[in-house]
Amino acid sequence: MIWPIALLLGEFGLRGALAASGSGYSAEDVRATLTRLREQNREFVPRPNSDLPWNPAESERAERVVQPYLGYDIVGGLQLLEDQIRSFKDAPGQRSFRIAIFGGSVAQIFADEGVPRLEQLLRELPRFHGVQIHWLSFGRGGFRQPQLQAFLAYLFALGVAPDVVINLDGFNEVALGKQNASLGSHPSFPSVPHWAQLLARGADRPQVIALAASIRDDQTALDEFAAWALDRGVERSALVGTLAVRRANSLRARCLAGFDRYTEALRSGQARRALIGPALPADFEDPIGASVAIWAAASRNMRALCEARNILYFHVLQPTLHDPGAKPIHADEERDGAIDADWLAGVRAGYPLMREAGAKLAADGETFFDASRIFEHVTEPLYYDNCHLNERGNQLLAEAFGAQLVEALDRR
Amino acid sequence: MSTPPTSTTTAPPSAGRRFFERWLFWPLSLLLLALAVELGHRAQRIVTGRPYLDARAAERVAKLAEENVKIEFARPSTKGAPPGSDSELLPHPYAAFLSRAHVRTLEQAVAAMRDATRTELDVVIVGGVGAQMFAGASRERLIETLPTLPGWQGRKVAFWSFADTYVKEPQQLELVLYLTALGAVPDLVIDVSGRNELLVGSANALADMHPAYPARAQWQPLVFGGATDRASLDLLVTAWRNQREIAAVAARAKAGWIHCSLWAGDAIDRIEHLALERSLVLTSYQRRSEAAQRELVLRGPSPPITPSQRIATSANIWFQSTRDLAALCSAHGIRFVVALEPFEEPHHAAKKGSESNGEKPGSGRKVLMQAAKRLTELDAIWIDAAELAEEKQTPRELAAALVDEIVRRLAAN
Repeated sequence: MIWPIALLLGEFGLRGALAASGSGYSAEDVRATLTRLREQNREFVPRPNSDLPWNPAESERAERVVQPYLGYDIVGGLQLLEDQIRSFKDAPGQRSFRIAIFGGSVAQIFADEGVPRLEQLLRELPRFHGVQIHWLSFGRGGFRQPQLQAFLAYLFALGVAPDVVINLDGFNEVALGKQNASLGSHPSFPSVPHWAQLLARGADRPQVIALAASIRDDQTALDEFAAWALDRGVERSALVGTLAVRRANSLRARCLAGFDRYTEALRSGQARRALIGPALPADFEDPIGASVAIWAAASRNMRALCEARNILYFHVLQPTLHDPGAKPIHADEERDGAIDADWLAGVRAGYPLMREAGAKLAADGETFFDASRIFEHVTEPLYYDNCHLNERGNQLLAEAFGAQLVEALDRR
Repeated sequence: MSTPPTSTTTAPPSAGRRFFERWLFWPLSLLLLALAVELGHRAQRIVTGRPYLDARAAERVAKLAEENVKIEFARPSTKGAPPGSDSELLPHPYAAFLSRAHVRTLEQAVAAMRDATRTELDVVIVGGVGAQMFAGASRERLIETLPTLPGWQGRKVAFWSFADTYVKEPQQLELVLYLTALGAVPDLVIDVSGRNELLVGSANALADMHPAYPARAQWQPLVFGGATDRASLDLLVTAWRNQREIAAVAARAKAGWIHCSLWAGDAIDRIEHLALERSLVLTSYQRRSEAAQRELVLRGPSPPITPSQRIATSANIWFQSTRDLAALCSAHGIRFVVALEPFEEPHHAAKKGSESNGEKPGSGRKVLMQAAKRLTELDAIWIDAAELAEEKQTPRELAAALVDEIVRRLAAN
C-alpha cells in the first residue's frame, strides 16, 4: 500500500515543483522530445538538432559517398548532377539562361527558398523576357573552399558551363576550417566529420567496427526504449515521463560520444595520411587565417575559370547568426542556435577577416557582395538553427544581393 | 470390533543423510550420468567409424578459429603497391589520388613556394605516363636551358613533379587549383598529356565508368570498403560479432572444454555454422558495397556508349580541363605549356584481345589534335610531341627535343 501512495505523492510533488519553477509539466512536450530524440538517432551519423521527422527515402538520398574531385558527395547530389548533365542542352528553338549556385547547405537551401524571389528580380530585366531561367543547385552540406573551385572545374570538364556562377559561402570555411584544425586536419581538406567516415581503409578495420557495433547497440537501445515509452504513453505521468526523457537523453549522449570516438578512431591508423592533408606550414599556424586565405585564393581561381569562359562570377559572403553584430538574436534563435565551440571561434575570428579579404577581392575586380550585415536591424527570427535561414531569411537574402546581380548582368 | 486409528509417520532423515544426499549423492549421480553420456557418445563415435580424439578436436577447433579470426575486413589499398611504399596511392579529396611520394612533394612544394625569400624558378610537371618519362629524362636539360630565358636568367630551377602513370584530366587541373588555393604559385607548369585522357578515358567508358573519373584500376581499390551506410555497417557489425563468438568458442576450448566430446562436437559445428553465416554476410556486404560503387561512387555520371562518343567525350575532357588550366595559370602569371604526348591506338585492352573497343587506329589522336588546335585560339602554348618523336630513338632524345621546343616557344611568347 505504501508504494502507490509514495508514487502518487512523487507524481504530484514533481508536478507542483515544476509548476512552482515556472516551467510546468507538459505531456505533449515530453512526447515530442522522445519522438525527436528517436528520429534524430535513426541514421548512423548523428543528425544535428532538428525537428524534421526522419524520412528513409530522404535519408538514402542524403547518404554521403566518396567522390574523386570533391572528397564526397551525397547520393541525391550525384543523381541530381546526372539529371543536370542530361538536361544541359537546349531543345531546338528554346533559349535558356543557366545560373549555378555553389556553396554549402545554406546555398543548397537558398536554391529552394531564395531563388523564387531572385528570379522575380531578374525577370524585371528585358533580356529575360521569353527566356527560360534554369537554376542549377550545386550546394552541398559541409561544402567549402577549395571544394567549390574543384566542383566548378569538374563541371567544366563534364561540359557543364552555366551563364552565371553564384558562390554563396563563408560560414563553413571558417567554422569547419577551425574544427578541422582542432581535429588535426588541414583546413583545406573536407570537413573531418563528413570525410573521415568515407575513407575506405578506416571504416572496415576490426577495431573501428567494434566502435560502430557499440554505437549501433546504443542507437537500437534508444529506438526500442523510445518506442516502448511512446507506446505506453509514459508522458501522462510527470514522474515517469521526466525519467523517460532523461534516459533517452542519456542514450542519445552515449550515441554522440560513441560517434566522436568512432571519428577519432578513423583519424588514426592507415587512413590518417589521406585524412589530414598536407602538414601545416609555419605561416598556417592560425587555422582561421589559413581558412580565410584559402577562401580568397579559391574564389580568385573560380573567377579566373569563369572569366575565361565569359561566365559571370558573383560571390556572396553569407550572413550568419553568431557573427557579432550580424543580427539582434531573437529568443527563438537563442533557443535553437546552439553552436559548437570551434565553429563559434571560427565565425567570431573569421568573419572580420573575410569582410576584409572580400573588400580586397572586390577592389581587384571581383563581383563580390558582403551580405554578412544585411540582417543587422532585423529583429524577427530568420535562423532555425545556428547557421541555416528560414524561408523569410532566404527571401531577404535574395532581395539583398538581387539588385547587385541584376546590375552586374545589365552591364554585360 | 474396532481397531484404534494408527498413524504411519517416518522418522525425518538424519542430518548426516541429508548432507550426503545434497552434497554427494546428487552431484555424484549427475557426474556419473555425464560420464556415462560422454562414454556412450565416444562409443557411438567409435562404432560409426568417427572416433573422438581430444587432440584432434583441439586441433580442429584451433584451425577453424585461426581461419576465421584472422580474416581482415579491410582490402588492400593499391594494386601491386605495398602499403607504406612511395608508389602506394592514397586517396586525395580533390585530385582523386596521389602517391605517397607525391603527398610529400606537395607538402614540400607548398612550403617552398610560399616562402617569399626564395629565388628559385619553380617548375611543376603534371600529367600521366608521358609526363612521368619526361620528368625523369628532361631534368638536366631544363636546368640548363630554362634559366637562359628572359626574366629567368641565373635562377636555380626547382622541380616539383606530380606526374604519375595513370593520372589524367581533370586531375592535373584539380591539383594545380589546389596548389594555388594554398598559395603555392609556380613559375612554370608543364603538362604532358593526351594519352591517358583518351585511352584510359575510353577504357573507363568501356567498363561503365565516366571518362572524367579517375582510372578504374587505381580508383576502385581506394573506394572499396567505402560502403558505410547504416545497412552496410550493420552487415559489418554482424560479421564482426560472429568473429568474436568464434574467438570465444576457441578460448573455451583452450580452457579445457575440449575434453568433453559432446561440447567439442557442438563447438565445431557452431564454428562451422558461424563461419558459413559470416561468409554469407560478408558476401552481402561486398555485393552491396560494389553495387553502390558501380552505380555511384565508382562510375560517376552515365558514360558515353558508342566508340565515337567515347573518343569525343574523352578528348573534350582533355580540352576543357587543359583550357581551364591555361586560364588559371594565366590569371596567376604562371607560364604554361601543354605537350600532346605520342601514343599508339587502339589501346592495350584491345591489343590483349580482352575486348575490342571498336575504335579505329588513329581516330582518337585525330580528334585530340582538332581539340588541341582550339587551344591556339585561346592563346595557350601547345606542342605536338608525336611530331617530335618521329625522328627520335630514345625517351631521353625525345625529352631533349621537347625541352628545346618548350624553351623556343616560351621565348617566342
